[in-house]
Amino acid sequence: MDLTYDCLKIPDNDLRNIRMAIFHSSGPGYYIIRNYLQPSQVKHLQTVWSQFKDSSARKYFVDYRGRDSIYFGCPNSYSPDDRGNELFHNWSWNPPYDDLTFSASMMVQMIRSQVMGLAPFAETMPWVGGRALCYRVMFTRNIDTHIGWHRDWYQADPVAQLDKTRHDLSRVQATLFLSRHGDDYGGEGFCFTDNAGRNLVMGRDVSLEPGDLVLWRYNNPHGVLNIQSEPGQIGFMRIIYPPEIVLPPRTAQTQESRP
Amino acid sequence: MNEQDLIDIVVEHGEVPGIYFSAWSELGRWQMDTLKELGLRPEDTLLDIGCGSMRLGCRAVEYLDDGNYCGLDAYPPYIAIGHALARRQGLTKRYDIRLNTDFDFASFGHSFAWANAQSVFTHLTEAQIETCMARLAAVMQPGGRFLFTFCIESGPAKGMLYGGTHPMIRCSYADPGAYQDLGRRHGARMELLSISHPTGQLVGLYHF
Repeated sequence: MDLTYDCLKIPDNDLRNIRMAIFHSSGPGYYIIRNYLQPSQVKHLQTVWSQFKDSSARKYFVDYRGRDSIYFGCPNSYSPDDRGNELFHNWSWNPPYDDLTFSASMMVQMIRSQVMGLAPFAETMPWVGGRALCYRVMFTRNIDTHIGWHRDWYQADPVAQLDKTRHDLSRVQATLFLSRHGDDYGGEGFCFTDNAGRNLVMGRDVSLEPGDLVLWRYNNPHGVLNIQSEPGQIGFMRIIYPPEIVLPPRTAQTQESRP
Repeated sequence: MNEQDLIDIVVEHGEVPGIYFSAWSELGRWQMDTLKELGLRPEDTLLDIGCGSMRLGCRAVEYLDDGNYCGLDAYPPYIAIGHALARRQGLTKRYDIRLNTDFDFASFGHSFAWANAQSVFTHLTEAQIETCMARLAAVMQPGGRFLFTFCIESGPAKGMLYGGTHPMIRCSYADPGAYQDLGRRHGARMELLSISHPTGQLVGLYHF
């Protein structure tokens, strides 16, 4: 077996095609890796995360208290709401609630980093730039506007463009779709403006199956809007991979002093 | 050139529109303006060390007399992108940019009144910087000047993967005095400039 470091990288020609799809004006602004996860793996993720509330692992997740509560070494967090929506912040430094979720997410990070021209595991931990991967599992079941239209990593002002912590044309986000528009939820969902300026509902206007991984241009306008689901439906389930700003580690004393 | 045109050319060459390109216009303008303020004239010859994709070059070729801009870079994709950007910009004057990892400045067959290295010493080892200065000293005109930027604190990481694939080692010089000593070893006097660089790097000028 000819297994080397180099052969684990995305081949140059494939990398070029992915970058053309995402960044070039002739591309759609996204690239779909079909069947990134197999149906049995999707089923596993749906099952294990749906059972979270009743699992003994619940005690290892704290209530999410906003961005100020994110620090190196912080616990994973869980944010349910009264409309049935659930959000899990998972950090790479914590024991994973689910091995497949963790492993699939680390591989997503490796793929995404290569597409962005970064070291394969850049931003897995907050080593450089104070950002770290959050693999965020989400069930969105009923919302009007979860996250309104916005652009990430883009500053229009030329001076602000010099701030590489806020402006980066190479940024790619990834969404691992784990449920199906129409069958599992209705309304819209993940809305995305393509490179030609057309507003798309991913999963409705662009065919997507559970297990498909979408790499998309973070600078383009996007949002999560108008989702409805009935009791018993899984809702819009996905994992996204924001590189979050992570505060320095806290001592036991500073942790206690915080609300 | 608008932003998407720049991105298209970069991606057509298999590269990603990363940080180097995000501030393309601002950093290119800063270099050109600074060199002109320091005294660069159209009839001068300019050597751009780590010319990249002609971020400075696209402006410098327009400003300088025909054939007076030479550049060299160690990262292969940048040279091809540089030529494409020069074509897109409609540059008609001659220029010379080359892929080279050995600081082979003599191969241009010129002596230079000016040299420039922006965010280059931040990606070189001490030994590479020493070689760069030795070979630069051999091609600089008497009274020639070399504008460069540097950091005195590069953080805990020594090795890096440029573009995610190309291993590089960062310099560990911990204070500007090391750059003054470097200049003395190669017949140049270093002046630490008080002008600010858009990325926060320090700015120095060697007088040969």
